[in-house]
Amino acid sequence: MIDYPHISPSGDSAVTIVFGNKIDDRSNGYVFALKRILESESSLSILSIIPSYSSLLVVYDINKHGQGEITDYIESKLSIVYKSSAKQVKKEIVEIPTVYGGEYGPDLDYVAEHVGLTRDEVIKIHSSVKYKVYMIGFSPGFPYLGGMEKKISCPRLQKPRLRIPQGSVGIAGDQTGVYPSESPGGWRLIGRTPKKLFNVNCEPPVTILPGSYVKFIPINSDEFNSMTEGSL
Amino acid sequence: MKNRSIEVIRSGPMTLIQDFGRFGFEQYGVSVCGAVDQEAFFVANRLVSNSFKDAVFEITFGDASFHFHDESIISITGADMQPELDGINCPMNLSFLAKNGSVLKFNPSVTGLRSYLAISGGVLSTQIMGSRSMHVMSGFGNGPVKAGEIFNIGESRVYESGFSIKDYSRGFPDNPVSIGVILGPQDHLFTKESLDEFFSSTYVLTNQSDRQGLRLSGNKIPTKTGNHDIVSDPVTNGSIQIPGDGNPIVLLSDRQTTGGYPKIGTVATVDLSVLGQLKVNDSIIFHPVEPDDARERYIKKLGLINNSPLFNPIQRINYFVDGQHVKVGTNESTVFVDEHALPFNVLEENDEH
Repeated sequence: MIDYPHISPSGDSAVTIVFGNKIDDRSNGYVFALKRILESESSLSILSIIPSYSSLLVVYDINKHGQGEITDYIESKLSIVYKSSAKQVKKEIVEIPTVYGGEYGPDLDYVAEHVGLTRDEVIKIHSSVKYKVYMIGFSPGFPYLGGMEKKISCPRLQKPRLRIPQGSVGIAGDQTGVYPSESPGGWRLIGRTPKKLFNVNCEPPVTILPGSYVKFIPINSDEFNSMTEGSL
Repeated sequence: MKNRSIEVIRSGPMTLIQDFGRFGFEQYGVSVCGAVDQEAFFVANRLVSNSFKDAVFEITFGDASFHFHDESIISITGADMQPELDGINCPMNLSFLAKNGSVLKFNPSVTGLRSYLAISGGVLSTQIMGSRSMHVMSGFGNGPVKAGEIFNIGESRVYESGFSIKDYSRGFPDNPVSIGVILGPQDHLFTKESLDEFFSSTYVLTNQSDRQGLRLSGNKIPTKTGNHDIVSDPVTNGSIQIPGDGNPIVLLSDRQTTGGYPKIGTVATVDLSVLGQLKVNDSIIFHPVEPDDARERYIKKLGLINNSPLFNPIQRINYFVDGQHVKVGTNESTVFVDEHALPFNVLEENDEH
């Protein structure tokens, strides 16, 4: 057993700060609180900060800092982290217009049958929740969302698809997410969004920021097409 | 002013444009990428007076060739692919001149896996999020490079060639190669016996290895509980994951940004470069190191590469190569020669100047 927070080396030029070993709002809040402090207050030479569900990786300039200097700084900020994350941070909500079912969500029928609900009930449940963006990973812009109702959970495909269209909205176990670009993947696809979630020419390149919230808004295929054209 | 350029004639199994990497975007799920053998990359750029941010060609396995459209001062480091400039063996770890129209050929690699070709001024391919590093999986840079592609080259920052870095040499890896590892962040999930096993076993590189990671095979390392899933957390360059089959994976430049396998440790930065030169069936033995000791070794190595003076190791004597008179050590010569470039087919030495 280890105690949290657990500060560990990730080699000689990075440290990982672990706030817990579960997916929960509290640890994730600490992760983003520490990230904000490192970005806004520290004068350390930091190359990258990667937030995840319950831990944060800090990559620093090995030429400028030894590991002790970095861990000392982080330890000195932990009490502020625990206080500041308790404060309510403004919830930025990104709306994701989504066509559910049909060619856009070929697995919607399977999911509905699997959970014993109608298609409309699955859509209503999926689009009624504000999902927290715990982290981004797997591929550029891929958000790991928390908060899906267990009523619509559905296991992954036995055999992943080789090609999933950009914007596909899927379910895997208790999780839901969106594929920002075409890729292989094993999630059950229930819909698709015309919204571009990753653009290399934008700063930042992602539409959905880690630490923010998303809400899926049901639309029809005409709206999908007009939004796709509009974005060209 | 007309752009200087270079054309790819043969791209071989995989030739990529790489630079230092794409830092600061991992939080958005964007892989860092960058040259896998960072040491060879730094040396190649230093020799032609480029900055460490300049892009180079990373040639994997060999069998690639390039056509220079302009006179360029270049350097080749990393794997030994017996490079030839217009049919003549050329030196490694030494800057030399390629003429307008010259053809540079890389043969299949004899030792090592990746060669780096730096051109003074750097390769000017499209920058994406501040980096020219190609990432095949994300489609960044439309890589790998293809035969017939022409890339612009920046303005040369140097007018003389024939330089190497004083007191610097790069040996090729021992087999097995000894690699320093800093424990963490999930070493606590393994028993003392498992950790001992990890540090006393020899691991072999499998053919599932690539720029994303080295997949190793050897003694299996179980966790205390037998569970090899953790809540997904961030990974870094050299993270050593232990997935359910107990065989270590060492993550490299093209790694994803997060992962769900426990990480027993992380490779010391100074030992990462050599991993970029290992081939299938090469072997590794890991040993534990402390972060500060690993950092000290890295800073010493980097200091030598960055600060040791450039010097011209060439003996200024004339050679006859295949019956042709080659003036060695001047910019008019076909190539610069040093002892590393030999064997040249030297028929006769002529001491008259």
